[in-house]
Amino acid sequence: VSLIFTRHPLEHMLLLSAVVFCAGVYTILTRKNAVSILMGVELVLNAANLNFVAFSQYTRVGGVHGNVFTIFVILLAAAEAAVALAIIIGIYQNFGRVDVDQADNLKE
Amino acid sequence: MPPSEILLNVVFYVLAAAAVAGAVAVATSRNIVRSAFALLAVLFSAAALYALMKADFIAAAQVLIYVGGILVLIIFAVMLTHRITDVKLSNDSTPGPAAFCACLCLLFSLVVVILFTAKWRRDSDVVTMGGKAFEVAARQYQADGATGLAFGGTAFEGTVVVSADVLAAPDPSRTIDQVVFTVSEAARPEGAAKPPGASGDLDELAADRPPVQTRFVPYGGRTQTHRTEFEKLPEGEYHWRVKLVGREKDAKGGSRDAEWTFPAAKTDFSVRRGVTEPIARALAGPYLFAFEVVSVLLLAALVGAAFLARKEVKES
Repeated sequence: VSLIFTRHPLEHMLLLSAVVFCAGVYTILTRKNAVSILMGVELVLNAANLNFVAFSQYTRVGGVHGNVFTIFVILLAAAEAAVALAIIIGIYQNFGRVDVDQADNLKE
Repeated sequence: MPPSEILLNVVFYVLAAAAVAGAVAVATSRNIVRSAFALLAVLFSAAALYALMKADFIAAAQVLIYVGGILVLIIFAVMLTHRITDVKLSNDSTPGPAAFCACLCLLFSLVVVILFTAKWRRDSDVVTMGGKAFEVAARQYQADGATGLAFGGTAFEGTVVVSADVLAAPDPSRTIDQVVFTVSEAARPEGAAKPPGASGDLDELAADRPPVQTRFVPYGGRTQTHRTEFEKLPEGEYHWRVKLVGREKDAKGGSRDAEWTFPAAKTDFSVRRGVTEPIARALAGPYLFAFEVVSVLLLAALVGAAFLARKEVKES
């Protein structure tokens, strides 16, 4: 694959989203702060969205199905962020911090 | 390479660099406010990349919902749960050489799959057509002659650029003067209604909306790319052909006019005007049930979030 974007646009987009996805996974794996983990999840979702739109645009599957799925993913991410914020505030009220390894009351 | 294509490459690499830098900053910054603003950079770059991929509606939705909604929520979460002053403690990360190695392995396997394993590389960009005398490599591009358009893909504008390279040298008895590109509407399935004048035949040109457009390009030699641009194509399915026009020697030693047409086996594409209307039709058609389910889920998430975040009122 040459380095010229316009020769192989699909591969360039896929590689970019792979990098963003791995950054998101790294964030999720290494953080204790719940808000940071939420940011990692958003990175992963954005990488998936980039893939959806790239496949929709540059392959013969074509059409707008990838774009429709991207809209669904964005909407679900909004719902997920709202619920996650509510849960984080609940954890903060109960524990005084938002580290995910502290909220382990269900174990006992 | 035309200037617009160079510009598109530069724009892509700038946006990609911004996205990667933002993602790495989100993953490594110890200051959670800085992480949030790096996420802002990633989201904006992603929106610009959607616009680069002609998905303008998605770009607008990304800015509206992600930047205007989700990122503000995240920043609110940061503000409500931390003293902004002790940011050093607020974003502590566990030491993660193992996580780093795992992510590197993941990235490596993804890159291997993208570049070497998956089959989509082969039908992306170029198709080679062999004839009796020549071999022609055909490509097609989006409107501005830059971003590659996959064969069978969809152009979201009425302009498509096609090009042909003559690969094999014509033998000395044959010369080429012109390269002719012809775009015609693809044959419709049996029983489908034919619009007036629509035909794959050059002889039946409709008066107002010609279904066939032909462009002539002077032959510039074997090393030169012959490309031309078809404008104002109405929505529909198309395929195109390459014809080489020249002269060849006949049996008596004189020369006569000759032409070599290359069958357009896979050189097809479809044209849609903008992506917003097809999205609306898809949401109101095949995806209607999913759309309703998502709206119910959004309502449930709204109620759940309000329930979780409410303040307990103590009765005294």
